[in-house]
Amino acid sequence: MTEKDHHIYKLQDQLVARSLTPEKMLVYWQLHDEKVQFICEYFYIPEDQVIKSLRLMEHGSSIVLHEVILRQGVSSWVFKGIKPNGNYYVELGVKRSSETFLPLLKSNSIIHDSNIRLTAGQPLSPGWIGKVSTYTYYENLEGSIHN
Amino acid sequence: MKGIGSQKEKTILMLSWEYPPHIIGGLARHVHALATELGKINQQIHVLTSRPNESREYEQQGNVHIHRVNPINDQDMDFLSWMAGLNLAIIEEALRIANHIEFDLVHTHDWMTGPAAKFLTRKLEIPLIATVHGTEFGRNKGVFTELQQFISKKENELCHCADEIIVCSDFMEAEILSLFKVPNEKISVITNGAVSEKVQQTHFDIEELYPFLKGKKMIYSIGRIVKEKGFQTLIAAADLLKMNAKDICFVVAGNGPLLEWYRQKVRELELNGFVHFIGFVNEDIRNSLMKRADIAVFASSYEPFGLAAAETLAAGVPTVVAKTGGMQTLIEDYKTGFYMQSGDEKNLVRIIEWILENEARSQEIARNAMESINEKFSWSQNAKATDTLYIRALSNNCQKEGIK
Repeated sequence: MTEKDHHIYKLQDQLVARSLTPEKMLVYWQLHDEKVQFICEYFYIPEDQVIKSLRLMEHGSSIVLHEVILRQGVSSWVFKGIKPNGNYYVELGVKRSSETFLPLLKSNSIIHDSNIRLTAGQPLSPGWIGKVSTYTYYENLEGSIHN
Repeated sequence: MKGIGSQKEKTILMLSWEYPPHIIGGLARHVHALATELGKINQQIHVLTSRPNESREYEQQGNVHIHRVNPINDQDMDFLSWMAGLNLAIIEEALRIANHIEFDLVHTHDWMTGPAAKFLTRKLEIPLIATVHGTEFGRNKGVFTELQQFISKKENELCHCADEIIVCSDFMEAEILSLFKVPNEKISVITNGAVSEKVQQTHFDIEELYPFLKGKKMIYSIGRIVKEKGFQTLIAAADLLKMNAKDICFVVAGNGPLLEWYRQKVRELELNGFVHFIGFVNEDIRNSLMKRADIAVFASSYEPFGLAAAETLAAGVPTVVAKTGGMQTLIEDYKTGFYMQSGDEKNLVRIIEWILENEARSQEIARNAMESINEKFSWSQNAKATDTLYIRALSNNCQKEGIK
């Protein structure tokens, strides 16, 4: 048997959220460098320029309640002063610019108000689907016909 | 990696962003047909693909195992970010499976899953086969925008890191060689298949679904509703024919970003009732339409192979194809089909009129086409040729690693 036969391939990372008090939440994570390197390579971002951030999100809305830009080597964070009656989750990801964020990990939910129904299993239809052909994306539909 | 001796039965990790029931264009049908035929010759195929609404995470069809994943950012409005998320989800799932199943090689279809394929072949130390179905340059007649540049760069990277590249026509081979400057011996032309049995077997009453077909001769086309498919030429031809051909109608099936634009164009030209853009159709309806069609037209300006045209030819429908891309070698003019000049509606009108006026001769041409296409293009032959390529890639890889 070669060394490869024993290899266990693992790229499963985790982002865990724990409620410390109703206003305080601890998050900690494991994120393989390979995953970040993959995204850098995909978007042609030099690895030393990659910006990782944490986003505190409220269930049922896509509004970012709080964003933290992470320093190198940090692997946990405490969110303080959060509203005690909300339902939250956290995303850890990479910022491609000030506007664009790609989540790499999503935490478990922290539920303070169990009366609000959480949505799950969103369908695969992110708005752009109608503009996509088998192999490409059509940016300007009207323009494309006249060009 | 398994040794050379066990290469007869291989385990292939096949990546495609679309796979039935998630059908956006021809890619899903191609990968499905290839995987099924490879399964029939005892290859174990693990297809990793995206997960549309309510489809199952895992299912097995013979020797084909389908694993579906959702990107973490499945609602991302940015197409490239969504695709990055899908690639990450594919990598995670593939590695999870690789802990239990030993893959022999990775076969990816087009640039969308290319980054995951590249990562996985490095990680698992197995060969990479890439089928390039079309190029961004070819589709747009150049690369103009940032997005097009990004896609073209990804296509280039995939071609350079793949051990073997498969294309569907000589035309595509020339395009890849000229665009990406890869070694000639790395590219193999393996033509697509064309399926006709299901068309003959269909018993669906298409006139019940589309009553406007009653008493009319039907000119049929199908494809993703995008500019390069040339449906504007079809509409222009219909406009020229409308006064003199009351007993015909045009039916265009397919969905796409220009669907509403074309429907509007049809209304503006007062061609309602004469030209019908019927939208997406499933396989049963598509087969019934082909069976009912009197003429099929594919007026594309860019077509790497022309799978839809090969299918109408295989179904025995007199078929007009634009002399472009892979369709240039699909037929012999007035022997097995009819060539038109892309973008030339007057040329198309003359051919349609000839077919309608020479019905017996047209039927004979269609019968010739049916024999020729079924002989030349079959998915089982495609799968055998692909399998031969797999064996070559594995053998080369073994030699590289010094395993004899």
